[in-house]
Amino acid sequence: MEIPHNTKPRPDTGLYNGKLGLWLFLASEVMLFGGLFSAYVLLRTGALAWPKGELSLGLGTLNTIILVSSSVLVMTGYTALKLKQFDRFRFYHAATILLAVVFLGIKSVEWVSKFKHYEIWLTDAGVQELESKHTDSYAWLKPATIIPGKRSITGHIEGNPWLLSHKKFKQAGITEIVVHPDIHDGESKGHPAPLRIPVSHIHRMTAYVPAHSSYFALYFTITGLHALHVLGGLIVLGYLGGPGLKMWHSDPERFTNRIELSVVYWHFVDFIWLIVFPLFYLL
Amino acid sequence: MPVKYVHILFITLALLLGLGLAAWAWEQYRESGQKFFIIYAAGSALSSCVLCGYVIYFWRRFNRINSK
Repeated sequence: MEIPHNTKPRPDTGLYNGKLGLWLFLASEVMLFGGLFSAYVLLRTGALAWPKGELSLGLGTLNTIILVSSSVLVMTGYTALKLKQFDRFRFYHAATILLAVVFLGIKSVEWVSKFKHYEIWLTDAGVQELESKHTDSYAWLKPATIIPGKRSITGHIEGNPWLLSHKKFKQAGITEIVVHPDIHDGESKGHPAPLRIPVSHIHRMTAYVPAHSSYFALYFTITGLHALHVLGGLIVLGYLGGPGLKMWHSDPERFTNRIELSVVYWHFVDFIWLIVFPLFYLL
Repeated sequence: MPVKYVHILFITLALLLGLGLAAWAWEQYRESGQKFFIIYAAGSALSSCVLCGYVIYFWRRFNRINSK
């Protein structure tokens, strides 16, 4: 049995089946991301402190350039297909897929770097001891922000372990850690000497993971969901550029419609990134 | 909405983001004095100009395709 309106528009909606389905799907996606962006606004306006400058502006900008370029390429591929230039279409389609892979690669590098970056909130005794031992403590000892009254240090732990917390130290019987602190004072230069911190002086310690703060909870939720959408788009583009390509020879109009839908979806995914980028990397 | 308008809308938003980034980076430069932000502002403004040119080019090209 042949399904009607695969290529020709339905008389009642003026759209073919796939296009109607995609726009309904995108409407539900707008609600999903809209809910998350609303959560961002509510949590940010209610937060006592909001981290700034914790993400790499360079990598975020690079990913933005990559996604905007991929939109141009996917559209150029579609126009080539409309002009029946099949080889040109294949080239631009492959280039779009490549850029999507690079985007996910950069995103995973960013995520992994956060799993190895820590914030350590100190007890009052810990702060006093560090201030008395180190004259340059003003450069790396942060004022109390996320946890009221508790000053902290950010940086890497010797050996670059992943996803540690102060609870795990107690379970493993570790009594002291070595931290390579970040400089927070804008005027100080160079790398401060590593700090030895007794575990008993740690009030709380966490990597830059969702448990760290509302900021990172939102960052991982929204960028993770966006990355899943990029992955979904990558699978669709991969299918259309691989096994699905044979439809071009049997039913070129339907194949062109499929590419059109993938172009619209890809633009939606890129549009979401244009909102995510300033929210987390700039503001 | 035809895919042409989706693309033009997206590139226009990217263009506006570029202009916003240029303004943000200029403000950061004025606050911190770091030269990196001047380069960032210039790069953002330049990429906005490129995207503006691309939108005009794309509009004309797609109209030509549709008229064929």
